[in-house]
Amino acid sequence: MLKRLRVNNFKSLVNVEFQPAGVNLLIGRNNSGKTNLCAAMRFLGLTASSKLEKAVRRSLGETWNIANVYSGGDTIEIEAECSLPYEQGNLEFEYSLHIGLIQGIPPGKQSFEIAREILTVTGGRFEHQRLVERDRNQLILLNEKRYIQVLANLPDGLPQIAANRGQLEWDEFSRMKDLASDETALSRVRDFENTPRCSLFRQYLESWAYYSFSPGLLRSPDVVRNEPGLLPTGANLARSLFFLHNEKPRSERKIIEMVRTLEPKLDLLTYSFPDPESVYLFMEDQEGHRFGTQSISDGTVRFMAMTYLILAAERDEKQPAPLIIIEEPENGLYVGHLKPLIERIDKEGKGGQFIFTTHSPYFIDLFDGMLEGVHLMKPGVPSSTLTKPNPDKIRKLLEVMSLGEMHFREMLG
Amino acid sequence: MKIGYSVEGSTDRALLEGLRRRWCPQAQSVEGRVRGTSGISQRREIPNTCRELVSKGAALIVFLRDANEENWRAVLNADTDRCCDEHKHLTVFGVCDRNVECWMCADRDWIAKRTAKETAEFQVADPKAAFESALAITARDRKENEIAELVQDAPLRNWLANRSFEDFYDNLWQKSKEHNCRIENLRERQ
Repeated sequence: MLKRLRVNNFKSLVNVEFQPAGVNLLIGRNNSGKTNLCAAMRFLGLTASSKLEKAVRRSLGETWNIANVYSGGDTIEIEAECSLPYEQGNLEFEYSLHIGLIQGIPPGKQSFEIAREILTVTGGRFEHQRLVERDRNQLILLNEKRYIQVLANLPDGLPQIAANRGQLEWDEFSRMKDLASDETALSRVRDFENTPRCSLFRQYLESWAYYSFSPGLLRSPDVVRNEPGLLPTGANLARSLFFLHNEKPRSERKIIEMVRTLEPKLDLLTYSFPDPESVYLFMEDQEGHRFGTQSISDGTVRFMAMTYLILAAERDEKQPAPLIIIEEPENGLYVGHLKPLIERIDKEGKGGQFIFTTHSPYFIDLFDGMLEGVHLMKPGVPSSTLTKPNPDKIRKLLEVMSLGEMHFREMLG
Repeated sequence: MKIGYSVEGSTDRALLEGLRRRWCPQAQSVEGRVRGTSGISQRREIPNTCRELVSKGAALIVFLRDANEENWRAVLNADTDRCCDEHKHLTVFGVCDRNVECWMCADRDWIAKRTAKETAEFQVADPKAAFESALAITARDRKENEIAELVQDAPLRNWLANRSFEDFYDNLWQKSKEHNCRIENLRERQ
């Protein structure tokens, strides 16, 4: 689970720190920086599997003016602290990524290189141990298996390692060859035998997912090749549900049961796949009438996608719960339908750590029992600011007005 | 000092702004939010508007609206009754008999002179249309600054002839004494 994120010099964010709970709500006016914070998380997640330019393009849609326009710095810094289950306990990871910006032509266009990358772990036999240390093209990667073997052979264990850190540590690192300047070392770590902790962290970052649904794409039958799950725009929904239908029918049943709260006559989800490039999704009632996605309301397809993310994308108990960001989930939906869905999310984030953004006072009302996850963003120069409303003050006010009403009246910050 | 307020329309807001500039230029105004756009919404939300404005540091809260077709005193009583006891000492309620333009045009000669119009244009039961026409107020341009400037210079003593303005002024006068701030004594003989 993500415990802390610091973002510096990324779009409107200068030294902004985010400490999320299990379920989170980012509130703020237009242009307050909510989407930039989400983009920073999405970008960091993408760097675990993609080169920097691709990660920037996918998270922001462009490679222009990625840095904060007011501060003028030439390095973007993102730090993440995460707690992940490992074997019988938890490991605490700290990951720091500094990205150098190279100004291109025309002005504003930028290219990127890794300036610094450090991953440390604490837990088990590791005490703030660096797993990855990189300074531009100098890289050191810890062979965790060998490190533990050395540790086991030392009579005093950790204290002796600490005393001889300079000598012992470096002996146990190995170099990674042919690493490009625009890809993270983490993205190349796939060896679960020799670098299991580092690989676990990479896998966790890869699981970070961002969604801003487009009703048209949610309805699309087009299959996006090489992308098995739901895409950030909502594309591939039919294919994702079809996968559940074939591979995890119990998960599909859960979705159907939840969607029945909107469409009581729904009996089955059925599919038609005339060619490998398309999967058509239908809602079928008990009398066999079929309704294609073009006949389903925007809100219903959005609800189906949300249900898929919250309930059906079943987690492997052995894997860390993913981080899922959903922008403005209430669009097109009667908020009364969202309440039972939000209530199905584990508040501790065990089934996934969720971050929602919203403008809707009615959606905000649903979080009055989860105040520790409410965050307020405000626009500013040079930076947006992120604060947590005072829970004691809010609880007192909740006796006389709803949380959404407090947001509407700008009483949260 | 912060003065919170809640109004029904832009001309009400401009009038309060003019009074603030005239009597309490050092004070900061904070507008309360209302979910809705009608006088009914404004009344329904009086308790929450007070809570909001108190939380934002308002030492005084002014509610101003038009009575329109209703009896202004009945509207005033209903609004005042809606206010919680805990906020009553902070609030001033004003309800314009018919509409706020009746206050603005209470001294017909003055408004005619200021807007370079004939006095006769304002000699009607409801001068709203004449006032908006004189100031070229449109939906897109509510001329709030111009209205506030008018209020800054207006012969308010003559406005006391309008009973609903007189009532509003008396309440403001009382509150100003409680807050130890000076507002003009319109009853003092010149």
